[in-house]
Amino acid sequence: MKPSLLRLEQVTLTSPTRTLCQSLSLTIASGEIWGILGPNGSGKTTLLHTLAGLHPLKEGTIFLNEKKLSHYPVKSLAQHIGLLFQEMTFPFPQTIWEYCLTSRYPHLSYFQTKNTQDTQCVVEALHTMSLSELMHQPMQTLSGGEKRRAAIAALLVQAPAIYLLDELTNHLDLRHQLIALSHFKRLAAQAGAVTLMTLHDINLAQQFCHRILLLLPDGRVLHGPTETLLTKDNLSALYEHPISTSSPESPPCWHPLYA
Amino acid sequence: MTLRSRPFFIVTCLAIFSVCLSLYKGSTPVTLYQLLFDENHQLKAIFLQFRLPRTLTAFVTGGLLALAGSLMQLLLQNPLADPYVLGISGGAALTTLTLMLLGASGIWLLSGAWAGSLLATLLIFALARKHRWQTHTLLLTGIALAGGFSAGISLILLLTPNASVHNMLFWLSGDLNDAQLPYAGCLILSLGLLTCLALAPGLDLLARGTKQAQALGLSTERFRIAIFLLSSLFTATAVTLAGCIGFIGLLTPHLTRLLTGYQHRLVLPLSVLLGGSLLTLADTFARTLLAPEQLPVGIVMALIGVPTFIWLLQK
Repeated sequence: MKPSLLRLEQVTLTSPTRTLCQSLSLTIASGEIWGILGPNGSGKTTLLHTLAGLHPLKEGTIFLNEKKLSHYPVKSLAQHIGLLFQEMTFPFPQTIWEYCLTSRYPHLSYFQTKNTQDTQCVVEALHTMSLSELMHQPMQTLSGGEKRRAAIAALLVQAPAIYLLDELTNHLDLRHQLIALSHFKRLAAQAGAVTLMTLHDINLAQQFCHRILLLLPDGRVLHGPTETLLTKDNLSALYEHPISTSSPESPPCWHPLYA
Repeated sequence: MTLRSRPFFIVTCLAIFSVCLSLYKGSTPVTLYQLLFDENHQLKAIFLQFRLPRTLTAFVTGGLLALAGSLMQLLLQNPLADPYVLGISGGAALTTLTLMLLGASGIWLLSGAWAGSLLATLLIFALARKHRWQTHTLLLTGIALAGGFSAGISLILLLTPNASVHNMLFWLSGDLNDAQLPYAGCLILSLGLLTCLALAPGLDLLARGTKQAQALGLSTERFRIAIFLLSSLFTATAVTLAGCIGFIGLLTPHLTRLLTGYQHRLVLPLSVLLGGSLLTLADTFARTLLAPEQLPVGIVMALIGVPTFIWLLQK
């Protein structure tokens, strides 16, 4: 049994209007990739933000390395957990390079300036997301997908042990979806990094995730290994639409039934 | 390395040039030679009692406003914000004009401006507390208060006998007459700049929004409160020194970001130098353009600032 990195105990998530999930308990071990699936407004983002310590927890406890999440100072939490937001803002002009370099913040003490190791981190991250040639471009001039890649690169620069990815594949073209997903897979295999990502693509979840968490519309939460959780019945209940697989290949290829 | 040092070199040269020009220009030109080797005590007196205090005050005020503007834009995540956007100058103006109406002068006016701007700051801070000082709450509360203050100012101008209205309007458009050596201003500017430099890495993050900054390890709430109080202090000091001078706080941060990019370790000190130089130049024009008549420095600043800002926007 691998040691648990992140553990949720009886966690209840609420939105201002309703309860999203009741008494959720689960254990996440290092090297695991989790896919979080659910319809719009089912609480995927709230769950990720709660895990990142951005929402105060009303009920239940979250442990990071067996220490309560709420006991971590904000800065050291950012060394362990990184969050890719669904959207990004930058009201002032800055280049991709500057944007990524500021993400070293959690690793720098107060008066320390950025050194060659930090810049090396940025160079590698930009290379991974194939942005090396664009690095001196202002963020405002980028396309939606390029901005998304810059945000992913910035997250890689932060270099946490746990990656929380809110709709990683948004705005990305097919090739870059696969590049990004493969990179997190490699990080999991080589460095034991943990990834929790929300997804709307069942087939990518099937391909890349070891474990799945389903936030069903009726408030139930199911989690477990990918093979046992991604079934016709579960998925049809999840999206309230019949979903099927065309051939009994392995791993299966999912598609909705069209009326 | 050259990318970093060149803007610094240019702006430092500009700062030295503007200070020298301002010290030299005036109704009687004072040259360095005369000052050092002439036995003429009158020139020395002019220099020490009028020229030097005024130049220094202009420079410090410009620096303070530029610094406050940079902080305010980050705090409100809005490139349109300037030091006055939250109504801090309005509070100062209201108390100062009330005191003028009551016949006060000198030190009373200064304390009035100081007290008024700090009162406005505390009022905004208290009113925005319910929503944990969120960007929009701060901005809307500040703008609403500013509206109230400006109504109060109009009322006072209407109630005032004609003879004193001129003085009031002069103060409202930026007044550097009777400037004293700005000891307190220098102290606040230098200590403030050092504090801001220590906060600079956090400032780089803040523009991404409170949640993103927190996810990267910044204690956003405490940090934003610190920024709010610091920029209010700078604005209050500037308003006390020189009345209301627009544009410097809006224009300078944009100019510096254009020159150096986005790292606030560089942006902030450069803003101070550039803001100081701009206001010193504007004041030199204000004194000499229609000499011996003096123009309010705020009006000259607007005359320079408006075309520069529009030119920046076109780029």
